[in-house]
Amino acid sequence: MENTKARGSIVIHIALIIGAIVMAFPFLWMLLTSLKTQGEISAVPIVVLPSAFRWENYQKALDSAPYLLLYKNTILMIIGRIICALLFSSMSAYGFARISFPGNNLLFSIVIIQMMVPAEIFMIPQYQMVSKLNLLNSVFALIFPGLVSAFGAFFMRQQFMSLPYELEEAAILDGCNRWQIYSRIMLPLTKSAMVSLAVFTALFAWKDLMWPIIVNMDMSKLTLSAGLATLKVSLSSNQGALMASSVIATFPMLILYAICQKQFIEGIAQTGMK
Amino acid sequence: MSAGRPSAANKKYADWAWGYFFVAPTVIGLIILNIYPIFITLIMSFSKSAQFGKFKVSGPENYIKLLSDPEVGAAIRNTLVFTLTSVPVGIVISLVLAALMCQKIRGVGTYRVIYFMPVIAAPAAVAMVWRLMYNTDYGVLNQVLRAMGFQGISWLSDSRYAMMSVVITAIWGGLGQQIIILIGAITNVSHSYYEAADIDGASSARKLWSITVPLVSPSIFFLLITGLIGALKQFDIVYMFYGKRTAPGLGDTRTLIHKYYVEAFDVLDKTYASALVMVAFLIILVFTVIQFIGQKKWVYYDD
Repeated sequence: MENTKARGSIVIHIALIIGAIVMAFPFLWMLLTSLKTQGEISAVPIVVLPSAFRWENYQKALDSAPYLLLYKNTILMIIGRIICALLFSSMSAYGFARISFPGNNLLFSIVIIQMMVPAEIFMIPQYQMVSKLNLLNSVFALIFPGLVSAFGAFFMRQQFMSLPYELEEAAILDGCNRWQIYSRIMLPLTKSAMVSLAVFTALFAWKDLMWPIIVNMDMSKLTLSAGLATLKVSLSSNQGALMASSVIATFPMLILYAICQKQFIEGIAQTGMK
Repeated sequence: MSAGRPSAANKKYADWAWGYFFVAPTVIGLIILNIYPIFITLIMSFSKSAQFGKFKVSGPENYIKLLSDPEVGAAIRNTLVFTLTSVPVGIVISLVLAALMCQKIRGVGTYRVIYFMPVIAAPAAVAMVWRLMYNTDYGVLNQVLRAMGFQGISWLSDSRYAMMSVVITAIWGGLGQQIIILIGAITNVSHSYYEAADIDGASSARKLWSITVPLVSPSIFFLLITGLIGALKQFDIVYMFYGKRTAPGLGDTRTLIHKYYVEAFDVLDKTYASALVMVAFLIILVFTVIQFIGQKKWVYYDD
């Protein structure tokens, strides 16, 4: 009996390890290729390990794009969207979940509609708005579609609805107004949900490719993901440098993930991620 | 009833005011950023472009043009093929992997971290390394195939394999997220079901199919819905593999949203693009409705 169990868990490990290799291999290959010469990259038969580490690929990558700016733009976009999502979503969620006022359900249906409709429908009009505001090629343009978050409002409403009402009633008797109840009592109770929403918002913004390439043409105003898409064309003859660029854009995020993986994984498990 | 007392009534109105105050930023924002644009896009789809970026309502011309555009028919077919392969296959694989990770074994945390890595990576970066791996002449996949005695294939440009290559990359990129959600669901399944099955001598596959799948069916349904909607909007991988208009293989992989993007922001025919995105919306709506009707047949809610 014990023996079959041990054998079973070995089989499971083998299956999971093979899967893990498949999942991790592209990252390893990205790293290895970024250190090879073009000759090694296109060699047949295959050259797995570079004969010497070609750091000049990284020099070339750094020369072809302003990475510090790309990082700065990406981080500002993410921070901007997180602040908007957390503040406005939690406020509206509190209003929708805890206060009865005429039109509550009707106004909430706007949130539902936004979630049902593919974001691409909003894109041309949103692009025209940003363009009319003369704000193309700016960090504001990157944040723009994330100024409000329907998903955030929906998700946070769920959280507020699950909190006990006694808390609130007691606070009202003590003479607290709604803002005090929201900010001092309710918000602290939804801290973990807020972290999840922040992770969700950050990942969603980080992975967004279409909107940044639409509103920002200027290389110095792009996000990392969009900058890479541009480099794909300009560096197409130098795949070592292209992979070096990919490493520069990927590994810092992977390291950040390794440090706070618990929040990342819980955030995804909780929000489900659209 | 205290409603007659003025102070109580005032309190009620004050509370209403607080309600509007709290929801105002989101509601106003959504109306400007989302609701109003829906109508603009709808109107634009029935318009033709005039000078200086203005539009004139003209009738269903864009929809007529769309019917005779061979790229649109192909794009709809590609989008459906992509969605109906990548989503179910991805969910089955992640279900098996999640079930394996829920066994009593060591190192589950490490596996979870590794499988989740693609979810963190920028889509542009991972698409580029996949493109390199798919290279016909010196890509690692063909080199391995040749070493095993097979012939290499043109992963990205051969019309038989192009879509498959996009699907593989998409599944690889999405597994981690699905596994995390399924692990959460499987962990909640009571052990007593499995113990009873063990006494009956059920095989692992049988337990997965007869216990795990029905009991986590709400999560599977959730992944199916979100997965289908996400896949119907596929853009990133196709764009990173094939660019905008002419690459070989694009005809076999061009999705509806890719076509929309190119028409709107490269060809700059925004009214035609608006009609395209309305079609995409209709298709998504049809899928969503079918799913919600169909779920009654197979989703098992515990309460």
